[in-house]
Amino acid sequence: MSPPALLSRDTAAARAAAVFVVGLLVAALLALVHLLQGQAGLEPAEVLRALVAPDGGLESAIVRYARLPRVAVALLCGAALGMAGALMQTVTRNPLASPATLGVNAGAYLALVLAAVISPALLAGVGWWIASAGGLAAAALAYSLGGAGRGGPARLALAGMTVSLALAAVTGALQLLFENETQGLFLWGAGTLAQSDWSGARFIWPRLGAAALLALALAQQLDVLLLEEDLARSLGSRVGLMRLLAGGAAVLLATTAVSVVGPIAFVGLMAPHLVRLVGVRGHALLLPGAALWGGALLVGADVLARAVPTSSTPLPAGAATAFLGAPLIMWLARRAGPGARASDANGAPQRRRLRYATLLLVSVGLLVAAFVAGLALGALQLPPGAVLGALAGRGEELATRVVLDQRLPRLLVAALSGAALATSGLLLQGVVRNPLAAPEIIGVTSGAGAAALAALLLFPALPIGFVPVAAFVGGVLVFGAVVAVAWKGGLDPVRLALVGLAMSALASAVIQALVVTAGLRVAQALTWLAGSTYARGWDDVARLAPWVAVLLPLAWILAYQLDLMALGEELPLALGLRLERSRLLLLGVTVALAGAVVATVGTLSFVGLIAPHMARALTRGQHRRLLGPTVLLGALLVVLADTVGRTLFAPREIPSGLVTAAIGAPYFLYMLFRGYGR
Amino acid sequence: MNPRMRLRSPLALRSSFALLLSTLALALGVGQAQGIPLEHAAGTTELAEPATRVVALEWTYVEDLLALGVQPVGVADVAGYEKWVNVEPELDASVADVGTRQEPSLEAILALEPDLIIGVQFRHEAILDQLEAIAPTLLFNPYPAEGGMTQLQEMESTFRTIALAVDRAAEAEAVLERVAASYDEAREALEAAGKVGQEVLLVQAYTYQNSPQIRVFTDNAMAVGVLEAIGLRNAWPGEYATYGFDTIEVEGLAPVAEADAFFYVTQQDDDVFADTLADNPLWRSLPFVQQGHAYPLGGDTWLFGGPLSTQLIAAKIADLLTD
Repeated sequence: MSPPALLSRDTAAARAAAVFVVGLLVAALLALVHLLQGQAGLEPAEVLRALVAPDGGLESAIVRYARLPRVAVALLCGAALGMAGALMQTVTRNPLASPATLGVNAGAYLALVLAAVISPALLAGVGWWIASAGGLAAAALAYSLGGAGRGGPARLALAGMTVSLALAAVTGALQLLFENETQGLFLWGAGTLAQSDWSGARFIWPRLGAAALLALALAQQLDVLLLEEDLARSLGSRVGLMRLLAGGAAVLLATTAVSVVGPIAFVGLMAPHLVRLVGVRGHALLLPGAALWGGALLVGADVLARAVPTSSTPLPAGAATAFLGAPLIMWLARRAGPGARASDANGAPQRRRLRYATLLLVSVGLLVAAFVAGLALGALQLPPGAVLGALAGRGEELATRVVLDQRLPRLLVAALSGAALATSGLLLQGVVRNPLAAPEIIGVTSGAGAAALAALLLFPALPIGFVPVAAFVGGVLVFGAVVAVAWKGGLDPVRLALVGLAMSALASAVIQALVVTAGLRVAQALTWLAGSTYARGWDDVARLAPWVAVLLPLAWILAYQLDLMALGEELPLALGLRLERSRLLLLGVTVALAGAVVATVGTLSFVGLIAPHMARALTRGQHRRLLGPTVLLGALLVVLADTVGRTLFAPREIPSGLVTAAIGAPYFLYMLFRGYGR
Repeated sequence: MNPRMRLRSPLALRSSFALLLSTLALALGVGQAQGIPLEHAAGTTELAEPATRVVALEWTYVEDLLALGVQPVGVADVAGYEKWVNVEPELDASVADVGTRQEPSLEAILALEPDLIIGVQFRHEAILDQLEAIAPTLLFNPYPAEGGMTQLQEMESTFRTIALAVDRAAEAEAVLERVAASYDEAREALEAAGKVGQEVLLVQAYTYQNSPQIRVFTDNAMAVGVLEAIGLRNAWPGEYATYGFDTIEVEGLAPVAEADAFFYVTQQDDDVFADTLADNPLWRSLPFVQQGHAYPLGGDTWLFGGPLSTQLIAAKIADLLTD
């Protein structure tokens, strides 16, 4: 970020005036439109009368207790998020920082769910404190994983996204295991602004006011923070303390907003950038400006969301902010030019390692054992003899049907998916040169989901069996779009990851919008894509196997190029590697593998992320050497997930995607602490 | 032997060979029994003989079976059924749980050796092949598209189809006659009280992020069909919604504030109207609230059920309006 621009007094004053006058006008106009919207279908004249001269009637009650509180909460929360974003961007010296990109939303939510599990009474009393503590912890974690201010913008964004994913996975598992305790929070996740009285606004304004005053009091000091750290210190600034105070104020602002309206992404990211675009740099103006524009943005998003006609549930404002914000990230990513050098992909903790052959043998042995357990366990417990009999074709009929028709194909689909995802993750981490990369972040997964839903909606005659095809095509198309946007004379890894993140957010918002506008079959398609090996049969094995059979050897052939790429930008060229072509080819394999899996079983999170890391923790060396253990561990992970999901609460099944996440997320966080948190 | 088994494994191959033999036997007229053709949302299925071991994967069809005096051998989400659906007769303790409605355990179903599986199209269409590999499967669609049947008509037609499958057609007609009689009874009570022709609202409500969400039932909804059968009219202007309801916030009630009565279903631990909104100025300024015409129907009144549920809805509403 650049230091405060040196402008003449007049220009600066004019720009500041523009930020505020235009901002106030836009906010007022949007608020007015917002007040006129609503399910009661009031005439503008009636609304105005209720505002100016309220009587005791129904129209006045609607305007005073439903519409005014809603617009007030939108303005307050938008302002809080905007100011929090500005503070975070300064404190972390990172233009991509914001409450959502630092994992504050996910942290607050997990803390609330955890409290509900421990004691529901906690929520009523100190719920807000709990949410704030959770948000703060998540932000601190993401910040330290992101290199504590020295890792570059993209690394921080990736760390925040990964922390969010991990925390959300733990949350999901808790909700499943403690269904009754967490029921009340189950629907919290979408971010809506509906109000039916002033209690929400009354709750947040004193807290927001206090945090905002603290932030404004720090404004002068924050300007100094933008200078080089040494320079700031020499000017007598207590940098550490300033950062702590400003960061605390930011988290307080963000979690307060989040605790009332749920997770609303992108407002905190966009608002400060809009204000900086006109040249405002000093915090005395930046902070109130970001607050004003944050409020306007959130009101605008809510106006947009409510203007979308839906069949049942209204579109949440959180989805609308993603439509506005995702393109901004892409634009920022393109503008940023070749980003900070990505970190070394081989940065995992170094520990005692097994001999390679032993490692492979043990992995194969574990995989076989997991298969046997998977064939024996489930809603029916079969003794090993019955399993063997069934496999040999000499068992009794029931056991044979369970083993051959149901468990074996499921386990094969699980193993193939795990192997493919793990390979996909290994290649991607190599190409992007970032150990936090996973198929989820390049848009393949959410693109596949959005395309499948869109196909079902646009072509109602389409049989449900077509969903996988649409998913695959969608995943590839969205990835193509990511490459097209990220391409700028070449494929910068950091830019690719950022555009992928933004495209994922966009596709997720499309999914959310399609779900609320559409009817029955969409729900079914969603379940099918939700990451489950449930009910997968021999036809799914037949569909997935050829992809794996062709692409895994290809991955092995190409893997040596990743070792060259790890050397940086110039050296591989000198060694005769055609960098862009190799990147595209490897990414093509990555996407095809991930797409085939998503089309068959939906999103199995964390497999592509952690399997390569587990392999690296157990052995080291070139990518070809890593490929074997990676494939085996990926397969093992999903086979175990399928078995556990079928057995733990039988006959209730836990989707295997949730199990992989519940296993993978804690491991991943632990690994990050050991390896990168120092 | 299931006549529609697909090829999916060496075992399935063997069973298809057996199928071939039995088809051959059928073609030769050997031991030809009269099949029962059943029309449903996923096509036509022919049962060789009436089903006795039925697995029901959706609560409505559990209720249908119980109304016909048949205990299913397996039901999806037994605990949920007992929480949400309040009808007599109750489920036998011997009925096996086969998992969730969305993703029932195929192994558990297979282990029950059913001769019929009944599911719902929007949940089970994607696993139809797997279900049919276990037993003949009927899928119904309780949410017919716009311009087709109403949900009430669909419910009765499905009830009759299920009765055919378990060879209880006569019982089905008797149940439907009793239901019709209970509608007439409710209508007479309303007539005596001068309430016939009143415009009423029927809603379900729950809390979503500190804010009440209200599902108002539209004309195609099953429960609204019951309202009309007992002589009331739907005050909500919505004619058709996929699931039979529109979701609104409290202010969305303003256009229908002149309704004569407001019936609601909420859960005890989330009683939106009695707790959350009790002191809410907007809620209290609605005329039907001011006049004391907002009535709870009880949390276990299942608005998406079968004939027994509709009977209960009719009786409760008539009681509340004539008290």
